[in-house]
Amino acid sequence: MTPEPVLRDDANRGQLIDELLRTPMSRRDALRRGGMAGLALTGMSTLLAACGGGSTASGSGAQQLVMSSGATPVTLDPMTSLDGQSPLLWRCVYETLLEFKGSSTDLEPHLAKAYEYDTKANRLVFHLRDGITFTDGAALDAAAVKLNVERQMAVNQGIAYALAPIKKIETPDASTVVLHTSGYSDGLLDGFASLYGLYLISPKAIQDHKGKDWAQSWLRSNMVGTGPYQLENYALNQQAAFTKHDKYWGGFSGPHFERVVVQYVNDASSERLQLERGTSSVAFFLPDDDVYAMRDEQGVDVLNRPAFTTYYIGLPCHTGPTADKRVRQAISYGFDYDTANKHILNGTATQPHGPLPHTFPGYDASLPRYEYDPDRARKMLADAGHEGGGFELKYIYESGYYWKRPFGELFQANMKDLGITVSTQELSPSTWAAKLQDKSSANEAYGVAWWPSLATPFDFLWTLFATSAQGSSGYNFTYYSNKTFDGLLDQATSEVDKAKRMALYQRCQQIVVDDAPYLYISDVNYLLPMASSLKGAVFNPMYLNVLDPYELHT
Amino acid sequence: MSTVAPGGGALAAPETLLNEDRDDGRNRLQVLRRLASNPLSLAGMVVLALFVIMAVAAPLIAPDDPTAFNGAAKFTAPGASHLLGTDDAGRDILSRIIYGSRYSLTAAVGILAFAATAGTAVGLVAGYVGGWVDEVLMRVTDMFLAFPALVLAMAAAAALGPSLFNAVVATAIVWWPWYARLVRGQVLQLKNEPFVAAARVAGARPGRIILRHVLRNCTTPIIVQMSLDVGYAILTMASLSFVGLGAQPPTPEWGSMISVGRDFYLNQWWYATFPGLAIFLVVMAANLVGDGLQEALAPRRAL
Amino acid sequence: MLRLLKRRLIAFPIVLFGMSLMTFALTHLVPGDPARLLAGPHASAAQVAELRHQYGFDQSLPAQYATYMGDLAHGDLGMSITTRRPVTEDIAQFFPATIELTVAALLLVALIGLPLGLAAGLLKGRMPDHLIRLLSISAVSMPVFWLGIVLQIIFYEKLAILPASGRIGELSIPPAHVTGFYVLDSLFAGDFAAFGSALAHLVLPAFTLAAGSLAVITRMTRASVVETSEADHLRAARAKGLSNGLVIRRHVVRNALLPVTTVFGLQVGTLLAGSILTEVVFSWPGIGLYAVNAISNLDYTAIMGVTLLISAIYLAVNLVTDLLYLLLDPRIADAQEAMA
Repeated sequence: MTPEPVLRDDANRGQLIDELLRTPMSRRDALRRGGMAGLALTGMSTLLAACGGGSTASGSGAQQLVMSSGATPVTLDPMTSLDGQSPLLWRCVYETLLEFKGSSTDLEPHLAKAYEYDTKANRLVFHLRDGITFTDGAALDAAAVKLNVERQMAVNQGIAYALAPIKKIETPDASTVVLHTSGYSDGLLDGFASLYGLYLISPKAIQDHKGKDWAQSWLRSNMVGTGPYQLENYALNQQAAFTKHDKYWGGFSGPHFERVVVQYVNDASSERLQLERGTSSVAFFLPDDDVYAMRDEQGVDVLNRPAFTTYYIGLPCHTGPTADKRVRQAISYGFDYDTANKHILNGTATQPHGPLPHTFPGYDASLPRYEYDPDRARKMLADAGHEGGGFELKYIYESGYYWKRPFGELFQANMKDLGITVSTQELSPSTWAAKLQDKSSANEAYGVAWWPSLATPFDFLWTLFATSAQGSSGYNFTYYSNKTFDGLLDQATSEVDKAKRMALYQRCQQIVVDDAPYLYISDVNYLLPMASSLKGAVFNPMYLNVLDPYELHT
Repeated sequence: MSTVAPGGGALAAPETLLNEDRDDGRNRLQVLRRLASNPLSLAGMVVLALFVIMAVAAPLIAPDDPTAFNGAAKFTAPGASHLLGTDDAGRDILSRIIYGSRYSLTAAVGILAFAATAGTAVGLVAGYVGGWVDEVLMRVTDMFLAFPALVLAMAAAAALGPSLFNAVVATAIVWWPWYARLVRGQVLQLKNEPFVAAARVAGARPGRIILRHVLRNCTTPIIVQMSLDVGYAILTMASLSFVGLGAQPPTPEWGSMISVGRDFYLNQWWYATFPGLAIFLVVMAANLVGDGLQEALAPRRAL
Repeated sequence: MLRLLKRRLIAFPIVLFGMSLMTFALTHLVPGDPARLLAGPHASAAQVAELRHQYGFDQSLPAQYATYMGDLAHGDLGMSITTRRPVTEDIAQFFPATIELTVAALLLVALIGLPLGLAAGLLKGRMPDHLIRLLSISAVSMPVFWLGIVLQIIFYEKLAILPASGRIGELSIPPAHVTGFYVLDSLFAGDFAAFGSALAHLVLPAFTLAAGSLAVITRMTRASVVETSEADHLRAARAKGLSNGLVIRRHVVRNALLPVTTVFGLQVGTLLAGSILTEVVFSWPGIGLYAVNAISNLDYTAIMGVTLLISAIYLAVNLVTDLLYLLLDPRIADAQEAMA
């Protein structure tokens, strides 16, 4: 079915040429022979020779890491966005005070050497490592951290929402930062370790370019951090190149890449072939089907790990027939979860019990699960007064998410069996959001993917279900609203005792499973194709779609 | 290509081929005979007819439901069970192409009908009334013509929201000025013809003159222009669907099938290839017929 | 003729102004929330509102238009929502790629289209003529994007001899900016590997983009050749006993190519617009890809900027072409004047 022999053959040919050209001698030779005279003659094959040789900065690939990505970053400023693509670049240059340890959701100090969180006194203290400098020479001291927290709060974007409880910042000495908070809030600490920050930017850079916008326009395309690499050049939507930070506090004694290049490739097929032919070592944001097809490819390993990503279909809970909980439950029984997970997602996902991914803190396997049962669904519809369906529903999805279209098509086909007519429409991300955000006109079903930025059930439960998260406040476009749920959730987030807190979150989950504002369809593994030769990759599901290049080597 | 001005503005130079035979009755049959005697045009007509039959009789011909979801049959290669293979939802591509002809042909007819009607109305008024009305209408027309066709169509389709119907409207918005210009030019010529002057002298009302004498004599160039435009209309629709501004998946519209199928060309080459082939065939057929028609009517100018 | 020239020149800014109004109206009719897009999925309502204010999305439409036109007068096209940079900066970055692609396509059109058309015209009614005709009708009948995909399947996936996307190999460093054309800049830098890579990357997209215009030029050239060779003075030349080859060289080619050159002007605009689809298929980082991304993200300012730019160039090229045509063939001018 797949033209694999051809592919293999091509890969070999590419490799062969690469090897031939690797020695400077033969490359020059090839150029003299082909590059000049051959161009006019045989054209294509000589062009390939010249092209395969490339002008690689280093003779051996071992020093340079090329990563490709199918989605372009929004900004280089790590404090102003919560998108999925930019952190890959941020994390080459910027570092956080804390980090999620290994592959877990436990915190460990990073730029801070220690921290204390006194929940009674509402006080969080960071003790900073000594002798860390930014690439522009500025020192990482308490004043620098204070300035960064202030900037994050002032620009009020990115992770700022998680830091909201911070009321006062004190710097008793150069290596100690004391934060006073207004009360306990679940997730505050995660706000110093998240994929979205708080990242520390050089105080000198912030001051020098501060202007009225806290250096936003400068930091959008410049980076000055403490991390292992520094930005060498950045061509918007094409390429970002980094060189090593010689004075990095972690040192460069072990096996590390000296240069890191992130290449943006708009076309999935090209991105895939680049990895298969060895011109890149990691391929981010490839369509699921491509990644799946690559698992048998020689020289490519596909990392396949449980992650914290979930796919749901949201139903309008405030209007139309789906405002009736019984109709939503019927629809939940009428969806073919297995086809979605086994065929559309090629078996890389499973149907979760409830809204949380099965490896996430607070997951409850004892929650009931809606199984595909069209007869039962039809009967429930009839009981709810919709004998034979007979109503219409619109499913909208935004461009750029590979799974949302086929999910919608499956939803359409399944609902047809229940007598419900579903029409589908692809929209631009902003139109999609605008349509759903307007409560008075929103009446569509839609696909939604969620991954947490804080390692607490609150991240899912508030954002997707809370009444206060409706519309543009959060991400609850179903306009689901349940006062009991809201009350329990409020209690949970301010509960200092972990066991009690988790129990409260559990009750919240029971409610949203029964109310079925969403179809909880997929708990999706994270798949990342990488060159087999690449070693040292550590995947933490809290750090989605990034790799730490410092840890990588060949 | 799809970005060429409608009617291949540069290709056809319609003004010069207008109405060499004002006397319509004389040779409709002759034109048809001349058209059929050109083997390429004949082939075009046959292919076009086949596509029309396919569109009309789709449910009878298509082996499968074009929109049914069949996860287990995902990405079946072309073969005995599915002649042209299946797509990512396990749908039969042949059936989807057969049903797709309905969308493409209807859309083309819709665009041309809309554009020709609106354009003719504007052109008639501008040409016949003249003066500042003409001036204003023609400046507006210029404004539309100043945009590259595809760019304006894309902007309009994006503004209207993506759907097949909106894409048809958007394309028509871009195309009517061509007809307005064509008809206006005709009217300017006809206005001073003896028979129009005679009717005016005889006291016929302007509305009657326009409809009776002027419009009737514009039909041939309009029809020629439309026949030349069919192919481009289909291409433009497909282009809009390709960039996601036209028919929505899983509608079996050819452009949108290519748009989705493009992501899979490494392993499933058939997904994007066959719908494209269908577009190519039907547009080619339409162009051969249009080309032949032009030659039959104005042999000297034919390219 | 002078009158016509004057009218055209006066109409130019008026049409441009109308175009800006139309584009603005079109882009702002769209129900969209650019501020939300800017803020990202995890952002709060306050964050979104903040951005909405910062970018002026909370002002009335006429006010936004006035601001826009005021800035435009200073050469400021506003901030792009998706790239978060000034649109002029984006255009400066992406436009050279589009020009490089367009020029390459234009070269292909000239180098292949003219000889083919000449051959077809001189061999009118014979086998090569029919073949060329069929080829050119095929070329205009093909969806650009499909042709691109088919070429990618053949030359990239199956044969693996040409790259399918981007401007330069991932191992090559883009050459220092001189002209913005990678093919030239890499030569200036003396980096022949980069030159080869850039050239190889240019082949498929340039051919894809050129195909349609190639057909048009071929057919125009053929028509022009046929018309010229049937013209009276040539019959006379032949009657005078001049050899056929001499007639062709001396009269046909020169007289036939004159009108064709003006058609080239029109093709510049066509190619520029056509580059949109080509750039999408080949991930060519030019203004077309930028425009499609802008449209799919409803990036108002970017759409406005690109549409205005492409349309203004298109308009200017058409104007120049018209003038050229008037100079070359005054009869047309008279006819147009009579009609206007």
